[in-house]
Amino acid sequence: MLKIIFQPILNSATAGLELAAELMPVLARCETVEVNLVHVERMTPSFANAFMMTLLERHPRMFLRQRLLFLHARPHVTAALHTAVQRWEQGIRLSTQPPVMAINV
Amino acid sequence: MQLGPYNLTLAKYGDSGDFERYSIAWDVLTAATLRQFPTMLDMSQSIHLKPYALACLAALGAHARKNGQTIPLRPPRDQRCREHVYRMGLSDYFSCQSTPLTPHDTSAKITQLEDRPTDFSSRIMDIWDREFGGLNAGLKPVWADHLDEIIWNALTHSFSPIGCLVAGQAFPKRRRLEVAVVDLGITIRGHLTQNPQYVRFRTDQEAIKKATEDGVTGTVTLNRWREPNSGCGLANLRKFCEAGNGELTIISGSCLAFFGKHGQPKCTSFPGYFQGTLVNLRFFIEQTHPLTTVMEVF
Repeated sequence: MLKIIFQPILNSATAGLELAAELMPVLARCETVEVNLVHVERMTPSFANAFMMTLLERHPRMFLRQRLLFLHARPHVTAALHTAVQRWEQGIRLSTQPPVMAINV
Repeated sequence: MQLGPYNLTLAKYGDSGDFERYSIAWDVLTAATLRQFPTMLDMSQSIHLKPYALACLAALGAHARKNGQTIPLRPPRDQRCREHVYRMGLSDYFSCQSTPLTPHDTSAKITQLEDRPTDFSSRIMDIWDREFGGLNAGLKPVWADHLDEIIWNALTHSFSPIGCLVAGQAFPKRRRLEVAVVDLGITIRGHLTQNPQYVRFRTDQEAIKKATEDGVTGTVTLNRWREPNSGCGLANLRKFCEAGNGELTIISGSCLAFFGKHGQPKCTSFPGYFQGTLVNLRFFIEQTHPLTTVMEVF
């Protein structure tokens, strides 16, 4: 299991991509990642979308639900991550990801 | 349009900041995008200046400086207004004999941002937290996140030659905060139409409304900071305001758009053309609408 602690201010897509990249090798081995959000005071949509959508591009939601554990998150931080997942489900993608219609083809 | 030398004289009384009556911003925004700058900015008759007016004036001064010119400033005759102008740091962007004054606790001094401002929004919220004797802990980070997204938009989408100017103030009696972010870039329509999906937009009104929808961005692959975009910052802010938690006013190109509790945006023509984008945020201290009831991420 990988245990990681996020920093207090998460407000850039770059940070989201970098943190997602850190977790990907662990998740690819079907190991569990524990993300401690106790210090996170702020999480912008840009970060949350870059982070979650990068992971969701590689792994289905149910897989991440079992392998990616978020601990000690404040309500608005949980909401930011949850909204990113919802946006993915609604077909919203990062500008670097193929649009939903292309995937269905 | 080529002008002869001219003074930019601001009208008496200033403006209410509600964008409904005569507004300083109109003249200033237009002047900021003309190729010829005024020979003087005459604020002698000014009485009252909202954050967005100060941000626009600073943008004018910063733009002139970028072009190798410094505009002389005639300060307000009204003492209270004059001190406010100095405390907010407006004289830093013009040529003016002024006494350095520290900002009031209620004010976030005019700041020019051209690079990643990692904790800027948090610092502004801390200033206002002290002023109000402690803001709702759940609101502070949300407001700071919204402000960050607007600033990020200005710095990554606009290609503004001066970055962006930010000014803010707390209004304790009215129980609200106001923050303005202004850039002199390619406008929202200019950004959006870079994406082939939105190239058909012919008016600024269409583009502004579309830009406040979820998942809409003009970025194709990466922005100028080599980051992907998801087009959700403005949409998030619009939902926040339409839930009754604040008000959002956007001026870009030839359109002024207002988003508030009524749910439908109000769009009017901007008298002139503004080559840039102004975003004015009002946050209400008395939070009555729950921000979230989400318990789990997945």
